[in-house]
Amino acid sequence: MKVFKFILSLTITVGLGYPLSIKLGSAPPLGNFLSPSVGFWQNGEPRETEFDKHLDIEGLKEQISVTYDESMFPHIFAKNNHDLYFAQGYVTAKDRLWQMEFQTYAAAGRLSEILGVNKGVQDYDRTARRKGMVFAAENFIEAMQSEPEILEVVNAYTDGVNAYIQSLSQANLPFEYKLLGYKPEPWTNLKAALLLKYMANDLSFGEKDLQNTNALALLGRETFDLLYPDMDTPLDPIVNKPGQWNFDPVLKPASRQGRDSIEVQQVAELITNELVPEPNVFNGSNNWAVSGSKTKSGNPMLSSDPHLGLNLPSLWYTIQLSSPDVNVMGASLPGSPNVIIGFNDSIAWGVTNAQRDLVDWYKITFKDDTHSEYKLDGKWVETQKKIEEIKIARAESIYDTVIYTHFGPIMFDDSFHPSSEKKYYALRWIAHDPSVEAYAFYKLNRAQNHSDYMAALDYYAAPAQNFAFASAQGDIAMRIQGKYPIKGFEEGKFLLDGSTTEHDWSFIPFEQNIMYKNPERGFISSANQYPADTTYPYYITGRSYESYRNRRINNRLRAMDSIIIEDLMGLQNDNYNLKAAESLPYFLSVVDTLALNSKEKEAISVLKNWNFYNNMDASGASYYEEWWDTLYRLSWDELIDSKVAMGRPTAYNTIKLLKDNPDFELFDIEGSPIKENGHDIITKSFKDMAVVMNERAQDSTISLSWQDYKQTYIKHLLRLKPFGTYNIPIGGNHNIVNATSENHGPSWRMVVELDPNGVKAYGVYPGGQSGNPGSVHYDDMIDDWAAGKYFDLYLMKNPDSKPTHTAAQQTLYPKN
Amino acid sequence: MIRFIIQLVLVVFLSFLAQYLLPWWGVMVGAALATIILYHKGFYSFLAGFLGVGGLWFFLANSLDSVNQSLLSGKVAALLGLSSSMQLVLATAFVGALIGGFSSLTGSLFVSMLKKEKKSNSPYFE
Repeated sequence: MKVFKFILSLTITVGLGYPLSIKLGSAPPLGNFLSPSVGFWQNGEPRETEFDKHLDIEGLKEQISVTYDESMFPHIFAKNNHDLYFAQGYVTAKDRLWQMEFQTYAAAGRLSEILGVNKGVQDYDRTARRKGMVFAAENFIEAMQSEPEILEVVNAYTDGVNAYIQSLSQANLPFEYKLLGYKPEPWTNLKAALLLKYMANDLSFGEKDLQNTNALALLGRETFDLLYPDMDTPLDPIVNKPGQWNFDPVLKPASRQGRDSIEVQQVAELITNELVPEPNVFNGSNNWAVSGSKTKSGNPMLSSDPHLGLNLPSLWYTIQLSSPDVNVMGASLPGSPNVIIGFNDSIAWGVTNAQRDLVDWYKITFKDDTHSEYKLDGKWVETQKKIEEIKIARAESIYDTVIYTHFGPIMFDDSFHPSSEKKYYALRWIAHDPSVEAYAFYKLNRAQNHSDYMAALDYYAAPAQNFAFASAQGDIAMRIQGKYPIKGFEEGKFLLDGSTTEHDWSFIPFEQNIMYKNPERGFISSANQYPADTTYPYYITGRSYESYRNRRINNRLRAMDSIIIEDLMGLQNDNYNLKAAESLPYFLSVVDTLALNSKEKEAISVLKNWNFYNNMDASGASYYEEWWDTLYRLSWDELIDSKVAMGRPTAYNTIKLLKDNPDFELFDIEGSPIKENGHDIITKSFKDMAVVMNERAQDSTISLSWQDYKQTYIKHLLRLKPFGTYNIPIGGNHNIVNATSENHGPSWRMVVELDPNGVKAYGVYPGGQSGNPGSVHYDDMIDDWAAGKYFDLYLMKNPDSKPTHTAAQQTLYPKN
Repeated sequence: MIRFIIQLVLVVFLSFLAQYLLPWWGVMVGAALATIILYHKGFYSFLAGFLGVGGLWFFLANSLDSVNQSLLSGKVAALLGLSSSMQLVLATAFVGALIGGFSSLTGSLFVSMLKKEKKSNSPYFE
């Protein structure tokens, strides 16, 4: 009996303890998670972050000083480069380990390993594998082997991250590891490469080759050209120097045109409209620099604000890096060495996305259903098959075979999205090419003048970016840098013939890329618009180009004089809606005001009294946005509801067609008995909008203010609601300089004045330095970011020249 | 009663110690060990483990939470569907109490199993 009692009690005890130790469904392993000695309670930091004054770390060569200023920005002073990047890895991991590792899992298609069985996650993982993300990162690693200087930097960074990982116990493991019940694995150079490819994916994977191919086949050439011209924007390019492109371009034979490459075969194959996630169309950015002639102090100034999806922990991490041969500060990418957007005492630089088409799809002629051979230049060539093991937490691995061709991987086949229209087409993507962008940033961090900046960018290949530059010597410059395939007219805008090497990529020589220095107008700028004037000799195409932010910025910069740094902050936070200013008066003029009900009269009155600023309290902005969204849908219902994927015309082109070509046949609403024109749909969308806005007005829980209508939020990477921030009080929108839309916007804002007597710089981002949701520094900059405030980016000259307020001083010692 | 109180103190002491030497289930070993070292009847042992570990976890969770001013616990509570940080502290304490109670009971039953059929083990307590 006693034995029985004991066994029963033991069973109950173990029966309680065991399930608390493992993950059940989506719940964390509760024993581990709740235990106050090792569980999440340990992650709750005191309000005042506590720092060890001294740390002994194995792997350091000499002593390192780290000063945390009041914004928790670390300023690292090392006596050699090895120690500097080691410390960057260590310090960054201390604040952001979970995030940086999680992003590498996402990049490499390994999320199932953490998140377990989940169809959506598995699809995400397979997409990453089939896109060749790891293939791309491995090519980066291989290319890096021939550049010993950067190899040492990446090695040191990796060692620094690992030194931090080794110092962790269960108790001080970052929160998310405890929540999901796993542990960090050793950091590797490949992970640093994967992070850069993760960015490349966000910034250079946008394309619409198949959508164009479909649209051309279905709508015919004339309509296609009206809907999707290569340049559907009033020309206000990044670089404007007509007739001054003084070089002999490497042009392709005129016969090599993209339009007729494969069009005919495609028509018969139009399949279904399957949407595979694509980078956000509003991934974009602003940057500009003004020369001393336009500033009050006579010093050049530079601004940069990259627009990306808004997440917590934030994508960026502010840091100062100093060793005997570098002293740089700015935004770094956790997981990757160097500063990505920043400044030193001589220069400043910022980036925006170049938007050019860097993805092509090729139709492959396979010999048979084994897909082991395909036709290339009249011969049968073997494919390579790469088997991908996708590990799944608490389940058996799955295996996926990816076919590689001369062009690149086959992303879609009978085993993966068999209804995709890209099935058995080969992907050519710039990110697969070997290149060492980390070396470009390493050199840019050390650049002292314009020629150093130019030399650094020669190492930069992808994703193509518009690099704005300013120097204390008084130069300003812009260089649209990346590896660009030389295209024949419309080559690569549509599906290409993959049975020949005729459409293989060769590249524009770097010195013929679009760039200029010290233009007469006294400023340079970019906002993802069309890159050059029409005399640039190479064919240019891209998924879409911006038409509003760029003109607003240029209009303002042209008008501004005696600029002080606050003016540039003001411009970064500018809420003027140029799109509305150009379209609303016309829309209103079309609506017949004699036959309106009271709701509609109310809408007219709000809109007429609106000043075109998307400030957070402006209800006019809400009315306009609702109207615009409704009108846009009505305009392109044929394209949006089509069974076949087709691109969406840009806002600028839509407005242009509504104004200039109201009888355009596509404006007719599908399925309605009468034939509508542009005026009819403007009126119809107005009436629909008035009804919706009136319904919203009845809802007492939410106002009609732009802030409440837009509802900007920042979500945690795991999309856990309590760990995000919602309904943030901020204005702006896409196509507006302050490009903050619902979950997208300026992910980092920086302004720099290159004063020869000491650089002055300010920055902010929507997040906080700590990645720990249990720290006050997890999200403490969001309110200031929303309010358009900035923090001092204080570039310390030496370890003792501390800013006025510091939070902590740390010394890292080599441990023997 | 005195025996119970001493046992309770021992549970707190040993489980506190064990959880820093062992993984999270160290508290279970500590709580069991306490009733093996100092035997008491099943019911009292369960109670000592329940109150000992429960109380210990309540105290520790609550003090960590107050240093953090409930910043993290508020979010975690919302994630787990609880309405306040205090509920999460109590839930933590309850989980601790439950595993502590059963661990101590198991320890006590282990000793009593080995003891065969002796009536009482000590003339001094009880």
